[in-house]
Amino acid sequence: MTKGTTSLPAPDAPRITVQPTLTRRRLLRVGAAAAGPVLAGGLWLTGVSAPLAGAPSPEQDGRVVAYLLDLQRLEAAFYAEAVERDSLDGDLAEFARAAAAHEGVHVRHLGAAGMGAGDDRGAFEFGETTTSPTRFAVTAAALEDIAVYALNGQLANLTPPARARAAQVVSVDARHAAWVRAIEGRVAAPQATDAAEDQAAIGRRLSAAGLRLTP
Amino acid sequence: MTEPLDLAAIDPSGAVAEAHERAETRRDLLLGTLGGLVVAGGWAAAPLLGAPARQYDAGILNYALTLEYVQAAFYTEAERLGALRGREAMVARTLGGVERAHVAAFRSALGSAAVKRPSFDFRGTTEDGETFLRTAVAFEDLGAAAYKAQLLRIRQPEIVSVAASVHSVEARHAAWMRYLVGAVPATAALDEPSDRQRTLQLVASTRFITAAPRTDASSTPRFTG
Repeated sequence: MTKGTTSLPAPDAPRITVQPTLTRRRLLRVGAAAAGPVLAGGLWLTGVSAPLAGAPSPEQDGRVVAYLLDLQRLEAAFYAEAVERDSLDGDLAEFARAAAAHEGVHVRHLGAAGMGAGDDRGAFEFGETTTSPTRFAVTAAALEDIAVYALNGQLANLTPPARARAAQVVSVDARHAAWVRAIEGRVAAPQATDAAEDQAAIGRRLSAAGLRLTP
Repeated sequence: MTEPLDLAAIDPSGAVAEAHERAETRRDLLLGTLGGLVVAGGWAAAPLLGAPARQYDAGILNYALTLEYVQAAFYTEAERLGALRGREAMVARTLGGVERAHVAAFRSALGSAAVKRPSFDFRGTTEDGETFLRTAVAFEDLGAAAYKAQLLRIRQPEIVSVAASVHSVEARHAAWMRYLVGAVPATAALDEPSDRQRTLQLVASTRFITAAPRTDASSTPRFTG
């Protein structure tokens, strides 16, 4: 998978530029002063609307999956920390343990062979979102929704083998989103459809939720 | 990859067989006609793939429509019979609205090519809270798995996005129903697809579909029992 800045030259397809993905040197301050679920600002990828990316190809798969993988790594680290900090009880604790295990599998399934959730520990600052039950639930729902919309937005850009893997992941993230909402006593799935959003829209969602790259 | 499918063997009602007899294609298959189905982004500007792709995808959409008919009728009957209480009644109202919206959108998109609504007998599963929830779990789990399999076969990118936007909602439903019935909402890290043959066999095994739809189209669902 390509890390660092790359661009795709293609006569008929718009350019897709990949900004540097998450590394251990970048701290993502999550859950700082804001009241909400907090992930903001860090646009990892600028891109074009799905499905106007280039025609599916293995090379494009690599770049698209790298972007989707970053979101799974974020989720995996979030749940791993929640489990490690051991401040949740009951249904939320059970959910966090299951989600942590699942997201670790998602990270491996989307191609970072040999990478477990532990590799990203310390790369993020989640603050109270991994210890406060209310903030954990809100953040989990927000992260899972973002992952679902991002995966949905890219499925048409992937070749069938990569699409099959992404499809196996997106429905489980959707289950997670409904699960945590159900625990909180909410109508867990009121919508008729889920969004399928491009990279720019996902970046805005992350910004709105409070993710910020610190230098 | 084509899927050989002996519909006569697994669909005695012929409800789904009718979908495969449709030779028509519909122009502008989905442009602006999806109603409640909203897909963010520029799918409307995707390059056209031509009539064979649209016809192929229409077959898949009719298959999806059949599954949505079953779900919509199930929840609608539950609400109309009024035997459920509390959260089960709320579920019937909420999910019924969603599945009816799916039916409406696919029917609108397919136009005259849409398979008609079959007749159903849900054999009391809409009248007992626990049975209702367990049946809903089965429907939603199977629906998500069915969409997952078709996501790999759909030829038009914008239809992939539409199917994706429904696929993930079915998974939310499945998890929610599982939670309500006391089951683990997500038992595995990765969900598996269910291909069309397996899916239709499972649907046929319920015997919920009782008769092929009448050729004179009726817009109102028919319930027995």
